[in-house]
Amino acid sequence: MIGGFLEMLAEISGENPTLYGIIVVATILVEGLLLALFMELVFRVLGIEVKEIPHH
Amino acid sequence: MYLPLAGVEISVWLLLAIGFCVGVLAGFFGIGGGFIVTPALNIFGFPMAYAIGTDLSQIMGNSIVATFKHRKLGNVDLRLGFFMIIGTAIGVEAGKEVVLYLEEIGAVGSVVRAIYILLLGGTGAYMLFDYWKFKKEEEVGEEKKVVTERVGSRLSEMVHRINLPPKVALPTSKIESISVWAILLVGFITGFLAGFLGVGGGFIRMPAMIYALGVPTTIAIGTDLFEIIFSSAIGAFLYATEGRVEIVAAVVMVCGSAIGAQIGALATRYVRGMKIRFYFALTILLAALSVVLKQLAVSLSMPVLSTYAGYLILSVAGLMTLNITLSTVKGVIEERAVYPAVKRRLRILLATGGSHHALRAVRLGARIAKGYGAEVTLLVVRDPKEEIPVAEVQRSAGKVLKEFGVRAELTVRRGNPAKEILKESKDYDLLVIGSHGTRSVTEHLLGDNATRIVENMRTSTLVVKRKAEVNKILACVNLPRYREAVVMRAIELAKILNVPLEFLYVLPEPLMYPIRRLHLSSEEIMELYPEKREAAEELIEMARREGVNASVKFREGIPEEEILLEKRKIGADLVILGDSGWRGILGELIGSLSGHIVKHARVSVLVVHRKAS
Repeated sequence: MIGGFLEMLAEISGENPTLYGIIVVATILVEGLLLALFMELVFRVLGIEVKEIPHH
Repeated sequence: MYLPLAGVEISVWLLLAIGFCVGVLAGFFGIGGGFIVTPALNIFGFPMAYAIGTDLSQIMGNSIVATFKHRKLGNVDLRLGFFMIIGTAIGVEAGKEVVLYLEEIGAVGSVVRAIYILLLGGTGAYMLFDYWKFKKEEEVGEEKKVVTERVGSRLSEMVHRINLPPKVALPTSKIESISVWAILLVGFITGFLAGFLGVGGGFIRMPAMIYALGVPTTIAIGTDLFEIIFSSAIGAFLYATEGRVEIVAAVVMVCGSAIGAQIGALATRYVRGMKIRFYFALTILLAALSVVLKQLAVSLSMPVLSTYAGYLILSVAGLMTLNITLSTVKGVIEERAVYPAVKRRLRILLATGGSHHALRAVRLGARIAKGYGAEVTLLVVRDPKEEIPVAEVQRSAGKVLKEFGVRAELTVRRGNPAKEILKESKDYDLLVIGSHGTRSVTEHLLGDNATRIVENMRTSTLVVKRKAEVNKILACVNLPRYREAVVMRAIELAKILNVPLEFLYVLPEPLMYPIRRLHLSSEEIMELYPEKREAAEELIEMARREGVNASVKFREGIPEEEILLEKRKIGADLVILGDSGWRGILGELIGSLSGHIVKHARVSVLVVHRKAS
């Protein structure tokens, strides 16, 4: 299944490079934001979360 | 896992590990980490163009996560970031044009590599020299050891003097006023070099912000990461449209780097500015060495040297990641051991001008900072009217801080002391200042610097007067709005200073009896109001749970008078109360309870600001 998905992405990159570019940037953007929020949550649960300290 | 675009078979765990390493380094140094990931992917079989494209996508995701964390830590100066982006964008374009010209005359490869080596080596060597100079200064004056970062340089002072309008203030970076053109110029130069070398440029921008603009190290890191999001997004898009991005590899690496970036960013709380610069210098010097090896591989036709260069950069990344991760773990453990109740480190600002009463304030502030495990900044304000020797002040304050094993950063400001202290203190949890008390008639009528600061303060302020020692604390819990904050601070301080504590509740006269005072004792008041007895017992129990010996006293009368009377009666050396002050014209006319106590009490006073509640 993953192999098929990867093949499909490879096809898109060949047929429509602009769409592939948009997919790459959008995927990474959403992933980055979700991971940032998720990591915040994890650190808060671990009790080592910090509030804003506007500057050193 | 087989990646069809690049035609490579690679382990998911390996991608996660590379992502983790670069995440830690990016979060810690504020760089994209392209100089690590590209050779790593190349070594593990990615063709160069795919390695760069996938790396740029990974850098974008990684920078988002790291910027998010740094934003939380207050390390991102958005205003500075936006101006830098404009300068950088123009610079990158100019750099690219120069590369195209060099390509035409057939000299691009060797020139780019030579400048790359010079830049990495030069920056690394300068930063290492700066660190060495700093350490040498420490040896001259042992006491200076407590000061862990020097903000600004001769170059940044020159840049700040550029008087070309429009000028902007960068409060996050603690820059009062700087010409927009200066920021654009620094952005342009770093962008030009990045465009010329074909790199993200984080390793150029971060030191440029520190040395050319005078931005504190951690802010330079956070702001640089913010800028990298945009530059890497454009790069990732361009490479993806050429089909040179293995999106799945990038997604997996971002997962690893998300964890790493948290650790790297968190480490900036435990590893101070100058140390970060030292590690950064070491890393880029070794990166320069790897580029030298690559150049030699081409010149001497020895491809094996190129492989060694890749392994060298991977080893540097691995060792630095291990070092930073261990520093973070150590920092978190130490912080929790020092004061488990505090979820984050308190930030304390010790303002000093070098006088005896200011040094007393540093002493008591250092003792409190030690108890809280707080981050400390030593603020020296140079009054233009009376020049003070900063080095001398730093040495004497450093000696006191060293006694308590407290480390501090140094900030020097020039201007009116009260104004500068107020401006600087708003980002801190506690401001500690010394006061000689009222000396002249004018001071008696209008109040001294300490009174002025307390009446206009934006953070909790401790005014230290005759002595730094505290044997008993009196906490006034009159104002319901501040009661909780005052109670908590009083219990914490009594615990840290290991002294008894008395809570005082003054019932204003009209509430007791509309015509005259009844002269009731504390016990009689509690009998009259059973709910007050309950509240008192609750306070005593709260303090007892923290191992503090506390009592509660009720008095009737005018709060200003009763607080001062009770303080004298029990011999308290520290009075804690909420900030009841009116602001603006009303404040000038009416005055405030806290201002009155600071002016008239001969002992130290802690005024808990509204934001603490």
